[in-house]
Amino acid sequence: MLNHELFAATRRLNEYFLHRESLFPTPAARRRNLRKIAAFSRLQRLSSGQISMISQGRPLVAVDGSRAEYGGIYPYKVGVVQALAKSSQSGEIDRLRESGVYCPLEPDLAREVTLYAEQHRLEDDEAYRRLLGEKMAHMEIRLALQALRVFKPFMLMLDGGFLLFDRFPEWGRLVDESCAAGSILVGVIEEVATSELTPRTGLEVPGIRVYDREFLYGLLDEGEAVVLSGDNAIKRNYSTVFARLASRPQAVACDFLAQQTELVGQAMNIIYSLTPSQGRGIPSWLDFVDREVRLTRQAMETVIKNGLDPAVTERFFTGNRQRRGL
Amino acid sequence: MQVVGRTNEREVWVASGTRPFRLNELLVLEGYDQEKAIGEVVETYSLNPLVPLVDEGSPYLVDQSVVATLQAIGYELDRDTVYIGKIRLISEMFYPVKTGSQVRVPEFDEVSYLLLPSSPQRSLALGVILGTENLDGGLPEELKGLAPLLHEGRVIEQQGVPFLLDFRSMQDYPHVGVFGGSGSGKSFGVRVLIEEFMKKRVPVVAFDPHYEMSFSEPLLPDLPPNFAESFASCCQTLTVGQDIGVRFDLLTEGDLCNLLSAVSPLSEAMEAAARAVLMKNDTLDTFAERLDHLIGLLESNEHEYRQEFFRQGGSDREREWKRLKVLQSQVGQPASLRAIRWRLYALRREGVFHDSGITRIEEGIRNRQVSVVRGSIRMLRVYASYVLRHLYGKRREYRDAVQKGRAAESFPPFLVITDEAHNFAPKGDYVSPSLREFREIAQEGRKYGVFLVLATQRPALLDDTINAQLNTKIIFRTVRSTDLSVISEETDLGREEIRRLPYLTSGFGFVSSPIVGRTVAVRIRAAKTRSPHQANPFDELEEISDARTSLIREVLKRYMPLNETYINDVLRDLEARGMRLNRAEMEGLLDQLVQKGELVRDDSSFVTVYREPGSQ
Repeated sequence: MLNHELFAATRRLNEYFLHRESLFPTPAARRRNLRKIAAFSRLQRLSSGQISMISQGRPLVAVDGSRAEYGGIYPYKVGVVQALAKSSQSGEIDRLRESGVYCPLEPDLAREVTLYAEQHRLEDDEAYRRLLGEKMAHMEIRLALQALRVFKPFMLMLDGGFLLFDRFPEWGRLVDESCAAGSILVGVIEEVATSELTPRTGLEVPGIRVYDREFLYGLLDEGEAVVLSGDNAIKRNYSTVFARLASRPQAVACDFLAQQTELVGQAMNIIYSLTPSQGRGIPSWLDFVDREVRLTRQAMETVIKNGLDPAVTERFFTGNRQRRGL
Repeated sequence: MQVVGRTNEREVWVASGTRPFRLNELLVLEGYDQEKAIGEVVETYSLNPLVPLVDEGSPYLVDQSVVATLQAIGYELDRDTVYIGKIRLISEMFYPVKTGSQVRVPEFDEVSYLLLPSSPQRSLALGVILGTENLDGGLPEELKGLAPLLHEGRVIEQQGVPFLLDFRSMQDYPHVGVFGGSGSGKSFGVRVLIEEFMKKRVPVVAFDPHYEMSFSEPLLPDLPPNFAESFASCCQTLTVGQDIGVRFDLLTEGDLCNLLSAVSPLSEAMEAAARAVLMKNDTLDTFAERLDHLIGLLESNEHEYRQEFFRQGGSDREREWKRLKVLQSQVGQPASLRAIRWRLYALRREGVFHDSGITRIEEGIRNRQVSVVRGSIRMLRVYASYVLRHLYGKRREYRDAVQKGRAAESFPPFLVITDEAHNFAPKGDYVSPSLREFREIAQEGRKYGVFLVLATQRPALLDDTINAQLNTKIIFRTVRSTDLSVISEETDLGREEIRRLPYLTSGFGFVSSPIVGRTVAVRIRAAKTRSPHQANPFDELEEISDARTSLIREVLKRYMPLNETYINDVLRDLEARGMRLNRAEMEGLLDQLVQKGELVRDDSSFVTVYREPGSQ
């Protein structure tokens, strides 16, 4: 039965969003002010010949990770994390993988969680969740470094912004080695979560924090990109590109190294060429890797059912909530 | 290759990124802490997770420029094709196979016990086991060359492991059914079965309503010498009414009624009359004579007929007259007797009554030969009942006597083979004269060493009792849903196999048998011989008309160039050679030859002239 009170509350939220939008600066104003701090450009879909010129016969590699949890409430959980680096060229090896299983009932991990919770002033279960995320990111960066050495790609694509990765010790080596090898390092962010553009363009709306996602929504034409680099960089000294790669009005972001700023143009053209215009605006190669690495609920259950004794699963990991029959 | 998804102890799914699975191939599953399991691929799939179904509206299918870009960086979409197979486990398992278990192709020795439960000496080499092609390498010498195959009109080498049916195990699991629609390879399969029985010198009585079981012509003129085989000494073809028949003096009342009803069904009155009129030791003549007299007696004045009867003379007239008088009161209606008489004459005309009786079939069995009995289906149904009752009776008497320690004339065990078995032993209310005999052999034959091989395209119409007794079933392409459901009930064929049945290629089939222990997909070997009328009847039509036209051409040649006023001369000439045509037919033929370009029609002068091309 529909709860009318909930319905009314949702309607009120909707009213708010319509009002919020009316407070926003117009697209024209946003474009005008953004032009002062960022360089606009039109991306090109490249021909096979142009791509070969850039790749020089080297592959594209994308790295992505996935994690999933099984179980009831903390600490009766098992976390599975895996990462995959996949090369676009076939060969004896075209994939690198790493994976791990983490359970907070294990003393080592429990200690790690407690430490992390203290450091970040978090509850244990939140700390565990974040720790898994970090373990995955760390795994991805280790794999990226390994992939760089094994595949020698012309471009190495990470899933997520650089801020996610640059806290790990391997990051420095990854940056050095990719610059030395001429491999473009790019972090593709499918959900823009920053809120840097309104303050920097002087278009603040009093009392409202406007996220870059809203700022960019519908602002760019398909195939249009804006680059923020050098003094205007929004994350450390990285060059960040916002671009609309498909017909959907949402923009994605790509992080590049400051040292590779002059390669951003051609890199973005390749990324654009790899993105179906009818899709969700993510370069297909990253989508493929994501598809392959993704831990679905079904896969997770298969792993658990085959890895753990049914008695163990029942005793530790079957939450009472799961037994609800109504 | 590895086991994926949820598993159980009967079926698992396996996947491979590089190797497609082949239907019916055997694979070994090895988990890290479990026993080796062996399974058979029963379904195969391939899919590409990156190329979803068209109706999902995936951008990757539509966007050719992205595909081109992917190619430019060295990626082909089909690289991520995944091959999936459903495996039915053959090894008996008590725990599910572990997901992630490694899967590999077996060595021949690992699976030979599953494929070859018996040695070639003890078995019929019927064909090859499908899916064993990759096991060829380890095949021992004695198993090679047993089952060459027929492929696109040529005999090719055996591919894979031969399918050997241990026919001696029929002692425990008697009777064979061969099911399949027309063109499914059923007759072909029966032929191969008979050839194999001939090689083993197993006595066979085969009923052949289609006149196709003859084993004298080689399959192809140029059969490989090590494969060709002559069966001349192993078989005899006997036609009912010509070489064999029914000895009237040995007929029982029941036999007689069966025979008469084969011509046309008998009413109760007719049957009672026939039973009454037949006396012990009657010959066809004495029986027919008594019938005549009885009709005469019933249709005329008794006093006059009595005089007439005694005037004809003959032995024992008084006794015969007394018999007639008794019958007269029993039978009553001359119409019934007349009905019996014309049926009897019809049988006599067909030559059913033959003094040699079934002697030659008996000799065939004693000589361990195949006796092919030919006749119309209608006749064979009756005759089979008669033959089987006698042969089976002889065998039973002998075995029973041996059992009880009495002396008796020995009679060997034998096999009964028939096509169109649903005609001999139909299901339901319709009673075929031979049903009782077939049922009896189906139920009891094993005790006496008498076995059935029943081929039919309508297993659903075959008597249920008999169907249930057919332990081994060889099943070819079957389309009808009723037949499919009977097959599904009566065999251990799985859902996957039943689904494949309507689409099987001719000569491919499944064998379901406790002798083999599991359902095996087979391809029947090339026969060594062929049916005499395998020529296409439409080719035959062409041949006949070719013969006609070549005669016409020959005659026409002498009249060239042919002035139409002389067509009648041509017709007369043809008639002298035994071919009658009228003028219109002749003109039609001439036009045909003009169309084919063999003649040129010239209408330029007053009369039409036909001439050969290039002549003036």
